[in-house]
Amino acid sequence: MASAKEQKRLQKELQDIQAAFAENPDCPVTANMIDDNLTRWKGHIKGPEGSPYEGGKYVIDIQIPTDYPYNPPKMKFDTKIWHPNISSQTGAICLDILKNEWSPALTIRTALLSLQALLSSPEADDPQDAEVANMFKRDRKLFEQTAKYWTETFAKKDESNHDESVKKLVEMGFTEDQAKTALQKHGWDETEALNSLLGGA
Amino acid sequence: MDDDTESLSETVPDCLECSICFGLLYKPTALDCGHVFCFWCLFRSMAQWHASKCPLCKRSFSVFPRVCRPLYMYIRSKYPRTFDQRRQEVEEFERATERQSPAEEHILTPGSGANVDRLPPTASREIRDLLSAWQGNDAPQPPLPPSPSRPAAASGAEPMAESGGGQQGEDGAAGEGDEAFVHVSDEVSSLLSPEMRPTAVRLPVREFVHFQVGCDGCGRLPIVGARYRCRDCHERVGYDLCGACHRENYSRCGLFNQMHTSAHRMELVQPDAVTVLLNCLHKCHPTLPLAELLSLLELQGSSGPSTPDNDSDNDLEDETPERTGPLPPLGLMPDEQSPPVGDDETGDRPAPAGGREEGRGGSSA
Ligand SMILES: [Zn+2]
Ligand SMILES: [Zn+2]
Ligand SMILES: [Zn+2]
Ligand SMILES: [Zn+2]
Repeated sequence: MASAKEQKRLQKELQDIQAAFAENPDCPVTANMIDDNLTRWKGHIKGPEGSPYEGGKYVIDIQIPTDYPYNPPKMKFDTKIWHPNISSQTGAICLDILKNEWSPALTIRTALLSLQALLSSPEADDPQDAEVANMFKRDRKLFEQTAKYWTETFAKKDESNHDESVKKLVEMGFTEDQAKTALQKHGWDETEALNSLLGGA
Repeated sequence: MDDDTESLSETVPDCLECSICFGLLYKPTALDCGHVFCFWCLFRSMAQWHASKCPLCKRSFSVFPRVCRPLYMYIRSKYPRTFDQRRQEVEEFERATERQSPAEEHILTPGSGANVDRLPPTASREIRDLLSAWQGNDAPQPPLPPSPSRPAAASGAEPMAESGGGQQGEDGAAGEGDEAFVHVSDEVSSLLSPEMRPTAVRLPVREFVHFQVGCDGCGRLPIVGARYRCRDCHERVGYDLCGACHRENYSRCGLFNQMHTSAHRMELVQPDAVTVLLNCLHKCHPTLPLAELLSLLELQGSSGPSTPDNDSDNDLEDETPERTGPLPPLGLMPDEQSPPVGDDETGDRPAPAGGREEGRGGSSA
């Protein structure tokens, strides 16, 4: 239901984000639209240096409400993460600018940058995940170890091998789209993705 | 738009781009902090229950400013193609939402009530330089008109004292003395839990917050205190005045292009059920944000005989059902990003409870 005005802004946001990425592939956040639909995006955040998330790559699910930008985008982590302000179960995020402190002058890009900043500086007094927050307060060392372990387990194995996996499947005669969809569906497990592709063919 | 390429020949400087829609400023309105937005972009960013915050600097404000005439003229003359494209976009939006922004002739006529004559001194250097250079050259300005009857309030100079709704500068509008209290009907009272009934809680008129209703005189949103409504303006948004503007017989055109005249008759508004309930709840829980008040409102409603947002078959003051239904949603910025009570899908606001006057929501809704 977004009117032409809002569509135009979203298109411009997307162009700006992708232009920034084209210019500097090392930029900390980027985003792309999925399903050719301006209301559903995926954001990508690099774990900040010096944090237990360093080296991790995080995928953020983004839904644009119909009254965007007067209401904030709905964001949650697709990639599992151990952080006091992010649910370890659902990926739900507790961040003021995604709630009361949203302003229509903010953008998807600025929101993603705020998320990246949140990874560097957790706010244990305003937790989303009580268990993580307790650990953060009581045993910082254990917290860091756990967060790092989650980074290794969930935020690294994927992305580094994604291109490789897609390439392998494409070489076997599937289209890139088919390969990506199957891999995503099966948590980037090549064997399972291949089985499903062969089974479904 | 297919004329996109053509408009590329006009390079709009960043300072004339709206930071909400990312387009060329259309019918620009400037806040006291100096930040400038399109008319609709700013209006839709405003809170409907307490004071608003500037989308850029977060400075609090309660008055929706009028279109800045010189800036409008500058933009129109310097970027005609982009301006025209913007005009078409906004007209499309206005058709879809059945609302109007001030007509160009009112924006161009000093003292019409639809414009202000200058940018606030806090506006950015770039934008002020553009304007002053231009005014010196090719567009001699008409001499400033004698200031209108009530410059201070009309220019929206003084924001509401604070957010929250307890504030009010109103000292006794006609028939609304300091001691006046809002009448709570038996039907409304029956929707409230006992500790909130009028026997326990009284609502002074001067503190009453007219949720989502703004004053067409001074631009204050929401109106706090007495509220007057025009009986003769036929526009669906209605024409509303706060007590102060009413006392001064403000009679210029509305903020949303209502063709109000001094011959029109104004009457004191008896607030509708939803607004009364909301104020009762606020009185009992003064620190709760709007979102939580609205969910309480839902609870109160569901425990009672009928919910306030389901007014089709109850008659809470519902005397004018023949008038067409609520305006199409505008996608307002809800206070505290609350889900509204009524129609979730449109993300707009609680369904009207049918006040005595047609529709509800006044000029702001
Ligand atoms: Zn705008
Ligand atoms: Zn500002
Ligand atoms: Zn007023
Ligand atoms: Zn009128």
